[in-house]
Amino acid sequence: MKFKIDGLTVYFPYEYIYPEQYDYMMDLKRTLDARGHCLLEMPTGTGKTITLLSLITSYMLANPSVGKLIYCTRTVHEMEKVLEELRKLQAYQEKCLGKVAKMLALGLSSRKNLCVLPEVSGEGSRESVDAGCRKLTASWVRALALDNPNIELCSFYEGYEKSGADALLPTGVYTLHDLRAFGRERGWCPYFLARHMIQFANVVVYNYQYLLDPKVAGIISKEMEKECVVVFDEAHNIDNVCIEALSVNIRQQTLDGATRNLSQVTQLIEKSKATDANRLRQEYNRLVEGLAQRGNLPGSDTWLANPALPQDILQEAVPGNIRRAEHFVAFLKRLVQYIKARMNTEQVESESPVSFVTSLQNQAGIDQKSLKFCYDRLHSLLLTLEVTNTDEFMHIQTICDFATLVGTYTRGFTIIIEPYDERMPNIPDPVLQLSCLDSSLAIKPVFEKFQSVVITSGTLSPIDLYPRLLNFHPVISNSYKMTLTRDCLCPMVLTRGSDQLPVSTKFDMRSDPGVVRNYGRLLLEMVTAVPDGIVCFFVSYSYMDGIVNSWNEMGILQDVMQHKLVFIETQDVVETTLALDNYRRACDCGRGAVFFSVARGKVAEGIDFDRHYGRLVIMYGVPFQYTLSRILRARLEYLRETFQIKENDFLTFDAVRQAAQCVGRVIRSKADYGMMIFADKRYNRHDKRSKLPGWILSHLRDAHLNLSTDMSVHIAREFLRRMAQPYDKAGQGTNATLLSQADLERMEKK
Amino acid sequence: MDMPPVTVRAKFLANPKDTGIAGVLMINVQGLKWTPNDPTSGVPLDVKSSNITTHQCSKEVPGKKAFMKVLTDVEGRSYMFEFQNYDERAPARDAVSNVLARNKVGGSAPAVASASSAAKPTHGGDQLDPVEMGRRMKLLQQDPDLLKLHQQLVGGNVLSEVEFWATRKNLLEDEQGGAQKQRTGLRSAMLADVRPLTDGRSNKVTFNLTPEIIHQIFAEKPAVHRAFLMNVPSKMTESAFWTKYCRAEYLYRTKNSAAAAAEAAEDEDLAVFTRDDDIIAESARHKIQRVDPTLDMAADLNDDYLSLPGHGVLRDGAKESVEMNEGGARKRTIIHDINRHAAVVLEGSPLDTELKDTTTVAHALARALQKDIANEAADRGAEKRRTERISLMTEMEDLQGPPPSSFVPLTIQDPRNYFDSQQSTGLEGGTTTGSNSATVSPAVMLSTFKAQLKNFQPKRQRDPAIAPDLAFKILTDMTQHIASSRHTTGTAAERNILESLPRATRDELLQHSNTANELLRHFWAAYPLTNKALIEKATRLKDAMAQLYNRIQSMKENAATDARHQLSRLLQPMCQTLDAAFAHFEGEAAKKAEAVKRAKIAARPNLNIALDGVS
Repeated sequence: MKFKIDGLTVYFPYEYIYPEQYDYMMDLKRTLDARGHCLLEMPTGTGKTITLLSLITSYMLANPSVGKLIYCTRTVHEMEKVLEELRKLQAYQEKCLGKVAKMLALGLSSRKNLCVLPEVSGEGSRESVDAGCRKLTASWVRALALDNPNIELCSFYEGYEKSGADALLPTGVYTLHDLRAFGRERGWCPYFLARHMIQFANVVVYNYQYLLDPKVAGIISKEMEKECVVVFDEAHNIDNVCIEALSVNIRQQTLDGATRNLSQVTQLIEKSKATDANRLRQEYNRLVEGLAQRGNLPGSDTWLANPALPQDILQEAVPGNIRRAEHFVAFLKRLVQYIKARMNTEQVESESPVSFVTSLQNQAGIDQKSLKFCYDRLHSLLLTLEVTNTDEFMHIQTICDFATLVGTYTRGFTIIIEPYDERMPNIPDPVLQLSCLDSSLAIKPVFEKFQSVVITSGTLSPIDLYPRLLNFHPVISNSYKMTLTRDCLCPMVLTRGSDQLPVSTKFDMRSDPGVVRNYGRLLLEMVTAVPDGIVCFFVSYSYMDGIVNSWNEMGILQDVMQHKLVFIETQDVVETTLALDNYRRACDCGRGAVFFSVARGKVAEGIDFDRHYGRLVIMYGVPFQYTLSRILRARLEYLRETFQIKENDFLTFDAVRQAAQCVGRVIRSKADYGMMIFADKRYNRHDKRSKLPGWILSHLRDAHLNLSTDMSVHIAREFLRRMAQPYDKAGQGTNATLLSQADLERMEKK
Repeated sequence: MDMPPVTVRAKFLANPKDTGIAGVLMINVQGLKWTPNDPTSGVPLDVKSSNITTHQCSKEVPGKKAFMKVLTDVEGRSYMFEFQNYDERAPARDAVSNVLARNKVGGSAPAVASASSAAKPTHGGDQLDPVEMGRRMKLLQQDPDLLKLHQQLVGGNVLSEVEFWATRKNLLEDEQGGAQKQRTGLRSAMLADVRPLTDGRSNKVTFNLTPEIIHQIFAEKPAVHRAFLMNVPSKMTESAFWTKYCRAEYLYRTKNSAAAAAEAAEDEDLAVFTRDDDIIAESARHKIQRVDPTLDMAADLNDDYLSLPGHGVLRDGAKESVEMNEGGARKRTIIHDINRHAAVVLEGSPLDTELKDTTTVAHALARALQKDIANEAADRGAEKRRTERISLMTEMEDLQGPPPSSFVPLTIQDPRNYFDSQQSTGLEGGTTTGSNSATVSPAVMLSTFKAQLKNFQPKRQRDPAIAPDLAFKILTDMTQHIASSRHTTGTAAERNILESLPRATRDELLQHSNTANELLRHFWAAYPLTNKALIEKATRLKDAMAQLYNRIQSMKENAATDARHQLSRLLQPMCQTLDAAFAHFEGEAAKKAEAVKRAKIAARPNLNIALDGVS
């Protein structure tokens, strides 16, 4: 359908539109007009993605001055979905407008996901693929290969290089899979092609970190123009991403690895001196003049960029004491030695970067300015030494990143040295963590650089907290209610088992066998009553592990398996992916299945359990963070001091948003339906419940509070029976839930 | 004549379900003789060696009974013997095969003679091969009614095995085509999770492993499968292998992981049970490429620079300790087992072969796995399915307009034209020559119609299946009958009189009706009585029917007074058909005294129809 919003023609690839999608577009349009940022909470299952894409691309068609749409997703599979929806939209726009609407949209991911060279892409981790690629494509390797035909090169990269400026993607929508197929067909490297094509693309879809993490953004997103519109979808965890992007941790392994790396570097320097002393001398001269000269590296030579934010990087010459390669190695040795000594402690130490730098100066004679240049100096050295196996030098790089960050930032960070994990006090595992406390730091350049930033998710409640956490001023912040044709959402709060004893995952109750049994009985009752898929979320892996073992011993698991197959998320991503795939297939078979997952886990973050893949979600317990964690304590303190956010408020907010995130995945559209059970007595308390997003709260009736297992089974049966009835999907009269083109035209006239 | 006679203990089974009568079986050159231990419990058997066509023996499976079946060409009769054990059966089996061998070489002439003397020559298809036999057994097991009938008729020597099955060829064929039938999947229970049993008195635990459990163990634990294929029987015996496995399992179960590790360190063979990382990783790598891209979290990992070693927050309150997934080898947990189990069940490829013993299971599983891999490699539709899947996962159904219907609606511009032409073709019947288009002018149509009408009169059926006046009479009778019964009993009662009867009576009635149908079918099929065997058969069937008739009568008499009327009405058609058969038999017998004439049995099917309606 095609309609007008404030004079803007919007192309929407469906025949109907939900009223909340229309409202969402109105707000989005206003934001774009105002060239400001916005914060929008819209329930899952109301087609957020297509709404965003539809309005922004239509806006771009009407206003060619707008640069690109940069669409950031949390995961690769969301990226694929976004591109798929875009493909549909694009086809529709082209049908309406013809060739004018043609655009280039592409997804971007790491080499590991894009490489088509079988020998390299088959190799294990991302780092080894990066290194494998480098071995075949680095400029010095290619230069050597000119004389020596025995040196192996990557045929795809060579093909891409040979085509030079002609290596272009025709307009269209390219998923990672399409890029690989295109690359294979043309004999061009899809990774470098995609990176090159970003500057010509109208829509770029990639991971958050390509914009937020300076290490990656420095390479990929450096040249994005100001007029871009940036969208962060599923952004409820964005504060955590920001914090992690600027944090570094050093463990015993890192130090050992770094020591190894340093001796390797020393050897390389010796070798280089013997064979080609000129190269080191040239580097020295360059460093005297400043690093800028080495600015334009060929794409294949770059790897992780500076960990500090772009505006904080000093553009001047490297200090004299680390200009010489040997001096720099000695400098790093001292640094590693010092950190090693600091980590050899019996109790927890917590320190600000300033005092850490001061003591570093006093005890190891390392000054702040040299620290700041550590990353750049290492980068330059490894390039000079023509190191290709970058994956092996990760450890020393970590140390240099740490040094650069600690030298650059004085506030918003803390250093915590822990001799062991609080949760496992008997296992010594010393770690030094440089943790960012302020999530506004990493996102600040994004807000400053780009014209409009849209932060959106299904769970952003309470919505006034995010602007404070991220320190920005949205033009519009809005939370949309969900209009429903029928009550297709059924949230319940279960507080007791069938024996009327309370259930909870509170620390003192969670290992009580009565609670474990009651939780198990709940699942058992539900698998007999609910068709298709059921998803259970637990508060943590260790809790899930324990409960699965107890259920296995009690025989509950065997009884559950009589009805549905059970699949479980593990910390191994591959196994989890396969389990999920199997779970979906089991649901497709018709008998349904049960999936056990963990709140805050990878599955809770990005996998949809819509339609028959999830008719019921059980949230076992309240997913609080481990409140004794030092870093959490430090962060809470910082929040209290800087933003006046109370500790308990933040903890509850964080736990409830995770819970809401878990249960919010059951519903895709208004034709879908699902139940949500919050199984913990604490959800009955008003302070917890009220933090749930509005669209869940508005369906949580008083009769569905404080339930016991048998009552909830009764409600579930009633609900499922009701949902099985035929209904009128358009809704009637004033509470219409679907708008047609005619409806919209009428609204426009009024 | 160098064959020594063999004498063994054996039970004679009148039919496969019987417990059998204990007795002694003697086999010599003349044939086999069986005499019951208790002379009152059964009739001694005497089978001439020339009559034995073949014999079958049940498979040697420990714990199963040892059977031997001897088939003869005398009306296809067969005799089933059960032996104490396989060792006792062996000499008997050898002796019978010796007898058979003799028949083939020297005694072929008398065999043929005896065959020709038998009324109905046996042909090759009647010789039961074990597959055929298995199919029959299976059918009988599945259908209790059929089993009852079989017991009554074949067991009661009214019908022979061959005759009984001859009318059920279609059933057998269905059974044969069973490969296309829905196959049963694997059980969803975790069988591989064998729990030890203790008797409570001694310090001993017992593991029970059945072939099904073993199949599951092999499927879920590739390491055990591999170890089995490698070591059994070349390095150790099967039982030694399983003892070892159970031992490892027990140690694991009792949480004595230290002991398990110690044992594994000592015993290299034991260690292989736990080392399945490589196989699982291999298959995972294989499968991950075919995974639905909308949930491929492994690809996410490659975009996640937060998990870069040394970067991000290591010990946040929201994160769990990393110890769990580090430390080299994967620890075996119940969670892995459950996932693995569910995956295997979902794949659900039950083996084609029957689950018999461990070795065959192991080899069959290995074959099945190879086939799967080959299938996957050949699967070219995967790519398409993948894209379809994504688009399915992103679509919002309810925003779309009503779906375009998948059929083209029938639009007829001028309905009259269409129907007229239809009529004309109908009239033209078989004589048309393609001139049935709607464009034919009315004049032509009229003329053809006239011509047809002319042809139509003389072409009228002269030889109807039933005389018109008789048909009319039957029709009137039936109409009246239906009307009157509706009048007397009301519509509700008419719907099912059977339902109103007590359960025992109903079952008996149904069984009688089944039996009567079967007997009648064979009875009528025996006509015309061209040879002696058929005459014998007809007589036998008649006697059986007479017995049945008496039973029906007594049933009628014994019935409660209120149900008697209903019952007799129900039984009426059955009695009538039986009466008709008796009348026919007697009439034939009378006729036969004068001369052998072809009997007319045209009305036969009608008589059966009424009965089918009841049953």
